[in-house]
This record gives sequence, structure tokens and C-alpha cells, in this order.
Amino acid sequence: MNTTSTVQIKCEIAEGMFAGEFAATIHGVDGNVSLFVDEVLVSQDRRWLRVTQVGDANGHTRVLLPSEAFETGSRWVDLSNDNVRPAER
Amino acid sequence: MILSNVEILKAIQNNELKIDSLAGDDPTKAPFNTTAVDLRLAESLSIPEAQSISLDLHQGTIANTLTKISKNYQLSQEQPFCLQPNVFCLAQTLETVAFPLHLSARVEGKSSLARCGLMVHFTAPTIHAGFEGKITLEIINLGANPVILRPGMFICQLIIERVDGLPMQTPNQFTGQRTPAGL
Repeated sequence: MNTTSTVQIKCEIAEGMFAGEFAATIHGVDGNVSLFVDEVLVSQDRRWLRVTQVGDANGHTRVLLPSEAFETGSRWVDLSNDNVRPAER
Repeated sequence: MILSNVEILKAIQNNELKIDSLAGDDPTKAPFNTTAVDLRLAESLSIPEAQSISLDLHQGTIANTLTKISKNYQLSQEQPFCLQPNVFCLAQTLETVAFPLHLSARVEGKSSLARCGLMVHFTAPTIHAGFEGKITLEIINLGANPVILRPGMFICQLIIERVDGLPMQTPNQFTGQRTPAGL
């Protein structure tokens, strides 16, 4: 059964177009996707992005990104389970 | 269903919806309209400059490319930005918003600015349920004359709607959720 919760996913963070945003690259199981994200969603060490976990997808974790990725035009992405951790409180 | 000014304010005061910081809390004054709330322009603009490249969204590095080819401008009251005709720029709202999964919104322009030829978004007005952050605006001046952009000016309006149903397959997970973080 699927469960939904807020989690953090591993990502690579680079400078964004504005002071309050970053460019994030995420290694999905179907390839890399990138998007701009607000700074409030990025961990202090700039390695993790806060997203909504939607559930299990064929042994991977399906999450909902904060905005659509450039490469796919979609907010849904499947990740290897080891790229996902519980959200920081 | 579109939220009225009174319902928008109620949602903010109940911590159901976050608009930080709201320019006023009287629903019969700015930033409220009868079915919208106005948001303000932040202090920076980003203008992608012409390059001898084609933007390939499948390349995997488009976010970094856009950052590299764009020039940032800082605005102040003393030094506003003069947007020339047919120039495209990106900007953000001064306010940070956070939507729960049962509310979404559309960013719309303002008729006063539209009369001057200014579009503050095109093709991407939807603020999806669960969105959190500053709203990025795609601005272009389609008028014949330059338009002055000042930080803090009311630049767009949000039309907020209730979502019918829940966007995930496990709706019980969202029962009672009041923020995108599930708190």
C-alpha cells in the first residue's frame, strides 16, 4: 500500500537565478532531472531537497517535486530508495 | 471554487495558507480584491541574455545553463528598473507562499499594468497544491513604451481555489494536514 509523507531526497545543488533559489539536479531511476527550487526546501548542507513521498513504484520511491523538471515537464520522479531519507524536523 | 477576499484572509489566519508577509490584513483594502490577493515585486530581476546556443531541455543541465546566461539586476526605490519594449525578464514575488494540498492558485496580471502592455506571466499561471516558495514571474513588456518596475509594487494577483478531492492515492494521509510539510 502506498503511503505519503514529507521526505528529503539526495540532490546536487548549484546557484539559481535568484538569491533565494537553487538549481537542483536529481538522479532519478530513469535519468537525471533538474529544476529550480526555493531555498526553504533545501537542507543546510545543501545536499537534500524536501519533497512529498507518494509511495512505492516497482521497488523504487516515487516522489512529487516542488515544481516540474525541465527534462520531463513532470513533477513525479522515481528514485532509488537509498536516495531518500525522512525529513528533518 | 474561488476563495473570496474574506476566505483568503481566513485561510491565512488559520495557518491553512501562508503568504509571508502579507501587505495588509483588511480584506476591504489592498492587497485584497474581492476574489484575489495582490503580491509585490521583489528586489531582483534576472534577464536571460542572447547566446549562440539553443536551449535543450533534455540535455540535463538546463537549470545551470539558464543561471549562467542570465544577468541579475538589483532594484531599489532610488534605482528602479526600466523594462524596455519586447524585453523578457524573470522576477519573483516579495512574498513567500505555502499551499496545502487542498488549495491551489493561478497567478494573474493586473489590469493597470496590462494597460501599459506588461505581461507578468505567460503560459504558466498555475501554483499547484503543495507549492512552497516565492512565485517566479515571467515578465515581458509588449507595449510601445518602457515600463518602470519598482520593488514592492503590486505586480500580480493570486486567484486561490479549493481543490476537489486529493492529489494522491492515499487521501487519508492528508486528513487534518494544514501545511505542505504535513504539520
